[in-house]
Amino acid sequence: MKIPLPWFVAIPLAAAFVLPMFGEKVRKTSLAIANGTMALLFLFSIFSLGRQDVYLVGRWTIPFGINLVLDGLSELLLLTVSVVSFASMVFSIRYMQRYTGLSKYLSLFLLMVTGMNGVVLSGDLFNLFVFLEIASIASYALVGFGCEHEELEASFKYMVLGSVASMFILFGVAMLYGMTGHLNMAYVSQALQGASLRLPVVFALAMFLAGFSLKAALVPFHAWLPDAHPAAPAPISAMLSGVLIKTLGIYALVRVVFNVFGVSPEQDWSIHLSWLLITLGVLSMVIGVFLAVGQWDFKRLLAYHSISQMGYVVLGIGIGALVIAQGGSHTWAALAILGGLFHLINHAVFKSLLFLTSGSIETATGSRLLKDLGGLAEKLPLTRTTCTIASAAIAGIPPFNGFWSKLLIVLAAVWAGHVWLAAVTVLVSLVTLISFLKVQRYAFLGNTPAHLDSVKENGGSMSWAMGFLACLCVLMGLLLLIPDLKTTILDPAVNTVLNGIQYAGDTIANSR
Amino acid sequence: MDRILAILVFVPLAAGFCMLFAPRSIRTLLKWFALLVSIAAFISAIRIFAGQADTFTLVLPLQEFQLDLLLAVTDLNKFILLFATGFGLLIVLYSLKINPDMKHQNAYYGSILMAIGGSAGILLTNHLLWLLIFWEIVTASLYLLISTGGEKCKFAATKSFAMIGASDGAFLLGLAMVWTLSGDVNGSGTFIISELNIGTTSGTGIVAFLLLMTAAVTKAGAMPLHTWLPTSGQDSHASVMAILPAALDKLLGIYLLVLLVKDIFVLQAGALTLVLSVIGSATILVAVMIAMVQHNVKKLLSYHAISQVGYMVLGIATLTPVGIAGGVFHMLNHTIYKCCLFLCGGAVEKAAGTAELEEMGGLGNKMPWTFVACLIGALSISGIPPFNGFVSKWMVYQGVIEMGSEQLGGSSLWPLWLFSAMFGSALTLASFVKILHSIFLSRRPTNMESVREVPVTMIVPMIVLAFLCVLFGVAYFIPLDYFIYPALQMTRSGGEMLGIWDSATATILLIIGTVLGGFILLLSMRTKTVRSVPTWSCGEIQPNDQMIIPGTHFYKTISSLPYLRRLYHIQEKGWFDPYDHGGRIGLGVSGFLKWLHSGLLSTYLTWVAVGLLLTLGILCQIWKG
Repeated sequence: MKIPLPWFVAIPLAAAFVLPMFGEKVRKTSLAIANGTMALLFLFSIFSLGRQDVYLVGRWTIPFGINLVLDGLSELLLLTVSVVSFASMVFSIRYMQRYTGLSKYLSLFLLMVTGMNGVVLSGDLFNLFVFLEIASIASYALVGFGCEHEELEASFKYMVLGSVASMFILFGVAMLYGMTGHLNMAYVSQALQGASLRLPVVFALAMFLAGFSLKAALVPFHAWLPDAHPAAPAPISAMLSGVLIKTLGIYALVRVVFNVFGVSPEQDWSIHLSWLLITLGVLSMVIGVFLAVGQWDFKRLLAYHSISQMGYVVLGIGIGALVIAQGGSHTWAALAILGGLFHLINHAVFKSLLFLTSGSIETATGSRLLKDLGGLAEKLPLTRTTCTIASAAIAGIPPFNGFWSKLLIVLAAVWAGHVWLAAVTVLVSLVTLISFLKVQRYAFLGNTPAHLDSVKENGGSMSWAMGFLACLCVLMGLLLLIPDLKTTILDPAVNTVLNGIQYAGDTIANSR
Repeated sequence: MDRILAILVFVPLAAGFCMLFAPRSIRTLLKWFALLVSIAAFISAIRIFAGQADTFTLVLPLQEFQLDLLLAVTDLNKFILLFATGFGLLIVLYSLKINPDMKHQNAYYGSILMAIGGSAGILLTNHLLWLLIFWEIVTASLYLLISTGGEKCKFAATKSFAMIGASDGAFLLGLAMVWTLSGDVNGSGTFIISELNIGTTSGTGIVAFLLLMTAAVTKAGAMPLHTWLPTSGQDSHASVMAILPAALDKLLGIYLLVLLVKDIFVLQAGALTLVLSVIGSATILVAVMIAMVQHNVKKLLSYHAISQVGYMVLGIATLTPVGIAGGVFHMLNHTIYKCCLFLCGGAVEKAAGTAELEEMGGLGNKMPWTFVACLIGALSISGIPPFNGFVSKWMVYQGVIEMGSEQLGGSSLWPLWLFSAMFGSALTLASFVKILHSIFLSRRPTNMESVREVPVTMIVPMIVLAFLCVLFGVAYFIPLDYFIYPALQMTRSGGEMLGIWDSATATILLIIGTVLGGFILLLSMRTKTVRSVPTWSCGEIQPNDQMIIPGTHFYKTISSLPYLRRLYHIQEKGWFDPYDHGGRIGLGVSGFLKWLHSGLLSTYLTWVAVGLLLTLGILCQIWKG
């Protein structure tokens, strides 16, 4: 079955506009519509695996029209977005019972999904920016959804820094357009390869780098995230940490850096760019994890870990870029990039699961401060199990998914000759382990304090969503170990990154 | 039949993993299921030992690096496997009655099974990466096991996992370095243990060895990353300590150390053997010094579990055949008697309701079986002939002396190693005199009158282990000929290997001596009348039946010696605990970073601006003008 690419954008967009027509009275109908939409997108993204496709909107040929491009990297991200948003949406059914304005929430949720799918599929820079803004603005509103003092403040900070990022990106787009006369990524890329305008190109690259790093919350551009992610309702936190920072930040960064600008031994800024990526990665990993381990607010702890884990992804990709830039073997660049991208999807799954469990704990006990909790292993067995699995995954305990991707990154770092990078990775992994041991110790182990005696598991849709993601955490190692899965899901994405500026040729050839 | 290897590894792992999620309503069923699985595992291990399986390969075609699951039986791993599964079985048997009302039974039995499967995996695999995977599974199962102990175990479980996790990180790093070293510039490296042969002349080789060694000795419990052991020993169930830190962790850690020294690396640098010798000797002496002044049975035993690792490490560090054989044999012996001692400690704790030495006394005739098992274990650990601990310690001494005579690197210091090993042995005896006295011999406090011997399912494992202690001591050639020498590709080259020790004659002489002693004692009790008077103490007369000589005061003199007192004091405060120091540093860094994150939007915008400028500067290479 060949799914037309615009459906990924159009279906959630249409649903988002239909939903506000339903009032508060018909909560069940609106939930059913929203969940149906997400389930549909989930199926579509599975059916779209292994396809190379370009869709010309209105049959206008590029570079005159808009095109949507589906390649290995887009497929991977599309699948990740739909898995996480499906689970979060199912979780919302029960979790959102205590909120009013359900249809607005669902509508914003779907808009955010629209924006992310658009970013992932977009074949030109300006539409990338437009979809990025759709997703961002929806997320500003969702962060402030609770309308309490703390949430509004977080939302405001997020909005200011997010707008700065958008401005950077728009500026970069404008500069590229001014220099090359194109907005289509394939054509921009081709124009850049022959260009003699060196300095302005690099200037645009720096704007993109800063803008996307802000969206991806890499240190030192990270400061909005620890406020924004805990403030949102739990399923939205799961979406923000799970997929939003990845599609708007990492995906866009990788797409622009590798496929539009291109990393190669010939361009002398390639090595500086690689080291810049590695530095951003290491800074995020180390600073994020040390901030996380000192937190007592469960969701805030998780938010800081998102920064740290994004560092792993960027580190893996940066090492890959460095190997390419130094003219090294593509096999080892592939290993590093595979590690980074695999960690990206792994993190999407286990971090969204962790946020969902935090929502489950908060719903059950009314608190998310670790010091108020205790002995919940007895009271919330399912939450405990799923949270432990996700903690093991994020700490890199085999055989859960996080172990495999961290292993790949460590192996790639050592092979590339940077043992100290591997050592930092291992150290951060250890601090991650310790901070999740802390979560286990204070939230789940020991005796239950008196005020938590009447706590009960939430059950229903929340359990299903958590169970689904926990199963994924256990099984996702198979993506690496089973050859067929690896060649359909992971390898095309790695190849897209590795082939770099061949993207332009492929896209143009596919559009004919 | 080669499939039996994979079955032995994955069936307990899968069964244990599923049991973690099992509903609590079927926990009685789970208990018997766990017993069944552990019996099956033991039987498979026997069949493997008997030579019914050779290798098992599961091909996993991963193009980046070789990740096939390779399981292979060697002479070294098959006997360790036999004992590992045997201990698993004994502990499950022992646990059946110890805590029938325990809340976390599914986690308890599930993690025991996972530990059995994981250990089998570690021992059988011929692939370093798989070894790491199983290694961490065993670490995780230790965490789960300790955390079944309720409120007071929260800290112990966290600390253990954090410290062993740190060493697992070192393992991962070392493994990556070994992998890189084993390949050339273009080709991929290998993880297959039997193909590895890394020299330790380059800096990377030495660092890789040290990293992997850290993992091995931390698992085994040697210094300096040992402090998880006493903390968990104090707070968790004795059976948990008996299976993992006392038995399986020792087997696995020392197994890995032997692999490192014999297979994976070629030790060329004398400095490395020096490092190992220092770790070994320091561990023996320091841990036993701390053990002597402990007041809690389980904590005291934990410090001995650390101390004894020193002998194994020291034996292997000698790099002489007899030394390595002694180290491996001591590993085997240690697991037997220490497992026995922990089980005795658990039995006493269950019967008396406390693990504090001060509160116990005179339980010898209330719990005769436990007393006998504990006595044999104590004599073995102290290296008293003819029990098993003596034989292996004797071999380690021989190895150390031989190291001196062969003039290997670091060998001029051998008298120092020998001294610490022998002196450590004496101190071990001293501290077990204290335990035996405090628990079984001194006057019984009134609240201990109702103490009864533990059920038979608990006695059987203790007696089996005590019997093994005697057997492996008197007939030491059985384990040496069947397990140790084949494992190390050695043959028994006459009597010179063991000096002039002849266990048969010695045993007979010892028995004659004991009988003679008993006879004299009996005779003196018959003939001499003893006058007993009330105790006069500082002007007060106390009736004799209230006088208790507490064993806890035995070594107060030592702990109050001028310099030692200070050392003991700061040791109690955790000055030598890497976990505490690491925690302080981590919290310091964390606090500083938190202080930076003031929550002011203007600050955050400044960071963004600075970040952008730096990015621009680096990419445009402004330093080039």
